[in-house]
Amino acid sequence: MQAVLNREVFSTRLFDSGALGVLASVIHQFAEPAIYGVVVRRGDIVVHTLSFEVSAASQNLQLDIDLATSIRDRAGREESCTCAPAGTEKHGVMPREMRPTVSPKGYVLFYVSRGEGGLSVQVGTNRSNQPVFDSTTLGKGDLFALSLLAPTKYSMENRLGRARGMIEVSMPEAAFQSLADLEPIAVEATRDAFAPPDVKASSGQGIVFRVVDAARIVIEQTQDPPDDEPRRRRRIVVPKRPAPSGPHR
Amino acid sequence: MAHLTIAANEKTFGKIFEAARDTFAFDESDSGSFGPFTASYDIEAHLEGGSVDLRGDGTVLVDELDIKWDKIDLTLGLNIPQICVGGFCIIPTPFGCALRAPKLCVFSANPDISVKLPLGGITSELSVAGRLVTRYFVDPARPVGMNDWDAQDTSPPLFNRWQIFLDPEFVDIDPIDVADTVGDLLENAVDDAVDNILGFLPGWARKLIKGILGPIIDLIRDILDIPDDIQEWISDLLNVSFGLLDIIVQFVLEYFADKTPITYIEDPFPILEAVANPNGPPPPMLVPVKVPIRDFKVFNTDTEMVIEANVA
Repeated sequence: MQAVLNREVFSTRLFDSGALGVLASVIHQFAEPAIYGVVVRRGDIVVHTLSFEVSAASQNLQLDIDLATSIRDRAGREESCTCAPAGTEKHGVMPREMRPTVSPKGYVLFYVSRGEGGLSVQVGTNRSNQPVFDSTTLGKGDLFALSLLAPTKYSMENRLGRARGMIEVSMPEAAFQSLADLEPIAVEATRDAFAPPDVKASSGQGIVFRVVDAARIVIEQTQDPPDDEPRRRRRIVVPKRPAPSGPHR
Repeated sequence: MAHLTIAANEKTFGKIFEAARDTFAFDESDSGSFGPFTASYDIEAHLEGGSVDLRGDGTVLVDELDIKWDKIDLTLGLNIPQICVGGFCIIPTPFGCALRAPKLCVFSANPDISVKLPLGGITSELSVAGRLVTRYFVDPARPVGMNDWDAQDTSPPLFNRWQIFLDPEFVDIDPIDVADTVGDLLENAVDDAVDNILGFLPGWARKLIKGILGPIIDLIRDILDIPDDIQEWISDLLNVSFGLLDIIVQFVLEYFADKTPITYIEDPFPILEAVANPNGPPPPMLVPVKVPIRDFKVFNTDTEMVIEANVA
């Protein structure tokens, strides 16, 4: 099978809780049972909408919503949609049995599996015009989790305040085999400070920001990683072509 | 008593056999799927050496015949396992992980790699024992009604012939035993192939991915489900899974029993060549004198091969 490289995993240099890309997630707990509508935006443009339900009857404690998948599936879903027919009042509303659900005690995790990212979500119910969750403004108890792969230095800042800090990522070979088992590093994020302000992590290790008041956390790579191995050029052997026939100039 | 008796001693018979042996050429390729991997081979071989022993019981033993494997190109197609990051625990609890980060995989599917192992240049031994038999051969290319003189003059000649074959009774063959360096060869080939599919990534990313994959030799063992001895595994793949031993034994049997006579005698047999007409033209030439051969038999003692025939 032809495997397609998820190039953004290695090329992303900016990780923004308010404009999600690969390797980063925002997590929110929706305590009120309700049907929630999610508006996915890239900048000011709405790229998709979807819904999920928080139900006390649900045993599901984690609901992962891949914003990239919902965008990719959008075109196909118009045709394959099993929801109400176009033109009817309930068109576009996913039937209950297809709607993902999560327990009020659980968490909804928004992430981007591939693609350029830059996505934010606003989540609301039909009971209020105001969103109950906006990923561009994380509130108390929200989480921002990410893995940094490139072994270099990053700046971190809370764009809703003055908090600044640094992250240094190293690449200890001994940790490669057990990346998922490495304890994530917890960072407390307030408007004014990160605690700790300087973070040292291994490549691929999780870093989890716990928002204390309000935050839009932006991590940016500030240096190119050392590249001691030049890129390998791929040699493609061209099959011999038949000599041109007919008169030669 | 036969009209004709021809005998060739063991040394001469050996020379005759060598001529048949030297035209042996084996060329075979095939592929197969073996669960977690695919494999194909492309093989060329020829025969060398061997000692001929005419035996008193009327059999011939050709011993220690070398199968020279000029080419054994074994190609393995493997799926490298998915390489994923993430999956760490975001909210650990005393009862386990309450929330886990999603895993993000570097490729959309298990990437395929293909590695070719050039294993040629080795030798296996073969012994074959059988009896000499005769078979009458009419060339299928010979047009109906063509006379024996015209059949002699065509190029190649289309005359009928009495052929002598070695009809094997048994063949002993050594398994293909690949060189003990094959483990290193496979490891280097997979390492190169992995480097190749990751070649467009920066060095640190390649290092990280190869680190996650772990030692290449362990990766190979995992993918192929190979026990400790890679050399033995590859030999088994060729000998047993692909059945190359059976294939070459069958080829040798057919080669000596049906396809390549050790020698032959033309029928009718020319006892006088064409000569210029001593009485002057016409005709300018006298045709060869040919006598038909019948009751053609061959056998051997422990010292010589004997051919007997009658002239009809």
